[in-house]
Amino acid sequence: MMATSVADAARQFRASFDPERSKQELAALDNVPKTEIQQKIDELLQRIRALEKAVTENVQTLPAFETRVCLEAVRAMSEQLTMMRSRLVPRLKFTFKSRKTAASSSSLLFENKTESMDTDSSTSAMDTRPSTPGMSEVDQSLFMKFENRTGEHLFIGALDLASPSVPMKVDGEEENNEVKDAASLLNQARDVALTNLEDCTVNLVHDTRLGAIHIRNLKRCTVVIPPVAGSILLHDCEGCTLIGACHQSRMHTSSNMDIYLHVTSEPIIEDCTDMRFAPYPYDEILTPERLARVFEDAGLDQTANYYQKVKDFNWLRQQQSPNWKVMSEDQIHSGVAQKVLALDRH
Amino acid sequence: MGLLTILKKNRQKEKEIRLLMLGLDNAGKTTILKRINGEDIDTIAPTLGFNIKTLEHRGYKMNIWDVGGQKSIRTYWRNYFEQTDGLVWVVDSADRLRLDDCKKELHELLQEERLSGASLLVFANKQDLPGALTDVQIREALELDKIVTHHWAIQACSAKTGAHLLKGIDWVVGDIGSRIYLLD
Repeated sequence: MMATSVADAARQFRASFDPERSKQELAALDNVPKTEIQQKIDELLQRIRALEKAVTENVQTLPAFETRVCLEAVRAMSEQLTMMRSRLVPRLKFTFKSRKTAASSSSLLFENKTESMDTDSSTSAMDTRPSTPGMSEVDQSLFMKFENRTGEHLFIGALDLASPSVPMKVDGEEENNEVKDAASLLNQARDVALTNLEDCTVNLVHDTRLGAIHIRNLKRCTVVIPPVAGSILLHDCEGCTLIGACHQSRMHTSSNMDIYLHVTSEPIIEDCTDMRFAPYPYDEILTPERLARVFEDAGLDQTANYYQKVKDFNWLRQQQSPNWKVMSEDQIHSGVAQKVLALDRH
Repeated sequence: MGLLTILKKNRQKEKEIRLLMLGLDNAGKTTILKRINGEDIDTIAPTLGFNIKTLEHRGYKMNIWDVGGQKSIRTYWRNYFEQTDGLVWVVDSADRLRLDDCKKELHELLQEERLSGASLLVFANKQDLPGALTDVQIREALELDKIVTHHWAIQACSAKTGAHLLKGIDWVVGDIGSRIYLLD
């Protein structure tokens, strides 16, 4: 029974599988009037697809050799169509039809791709960069960083915040159509990087508005951060005290840390151990009025603090993660921030 | 009549595009998604799993998958590869410390067989930050010019201001459209 039905199916397939017509029409594409060419190509494409589908559906019933011959025929046709199409309808950008044929006509693709990419990046280049010369210098002065220090007090006021006189890239002008001058640039939030510091104290509380704070590889340091508009990102730290207020806090591969935090979303830790969390020491940083203004400037809600809702990526169970805890009253060291801020004057 | 209905249905189904949005943590993936969707971006928390949004754009139904970028959940990215038409790689243009990481993860991803047909859009995000690298610098840092296996483009943008997001999405939708549905 089985054998006859399989044979039937195979026979049926052979009767219906007719690539010849498509082949002929494919060959005749050159003679099709320009106005109808697109339609004709679409039609052929659909027919080739249908043929391919018919073959794959009948893989079970057909002898392996026949399957291969049919698939080969389909493949040859679709390749030919791709070629014809790129020749006859050159204006359309990307001319390959299926992922399989893509590989075989890669040189053509690459050409298209580079072309489209170049136009793409050059248009966006025009949009975002009125001038490129001197870019690296600008970057240096606007990206503030402290790195490779030992046993020092570092404060942000010491960094040269002199006006970026070099023309800067302007963003979003499509939307608000305003050209930002150096003054408004100074007002923009800036990112800070702290890397490879040992036994240092760092004070980032200053008039400068800050964006994200990137911290990497700090040992036994104390860092005080004002409310910032971006995230605090921390990697590979040990035995530090971190005081900061931000939208998002993401800490990685660190251990034995005291963290005094104001964060308006759930902070996360990953590959961390022995992390202790406490609320931000608001009154040690600035006067209440100034602090409120800095919070507002940074777009942070001063009433929402999720410091005790830490999410541990290495601990997906319901129970409390062993990698972090909220500090008890007697573990909270008050005056730490104050001491660091006071060091500026020495 | 019956056949026509089937064809129409098939066609509707075809007009779906699946975009997978990946990148290192803190790149701004969720912010981009929410900004495109017109949602509030001030209260975004780090993504623990994933977010999906379905949008209509230029006649296509786009399913955008935004998957968390934390290191420990990057291994789960592969669960989302299947059926992906476009990969949106989001870069924090101001995160110089991790550009190497970023490059490594991207190029590893492009080795993935199940993503072999996907168009690649790189968003050089956070251009609103004065210290951000330009799209040209990001393109060099990520060695995008070495990519020959995928259609790609890079777009400088800012999810915070919304600048140029649409342009990038337009490109990726157009590219996928011309690739998969060349009838249009």
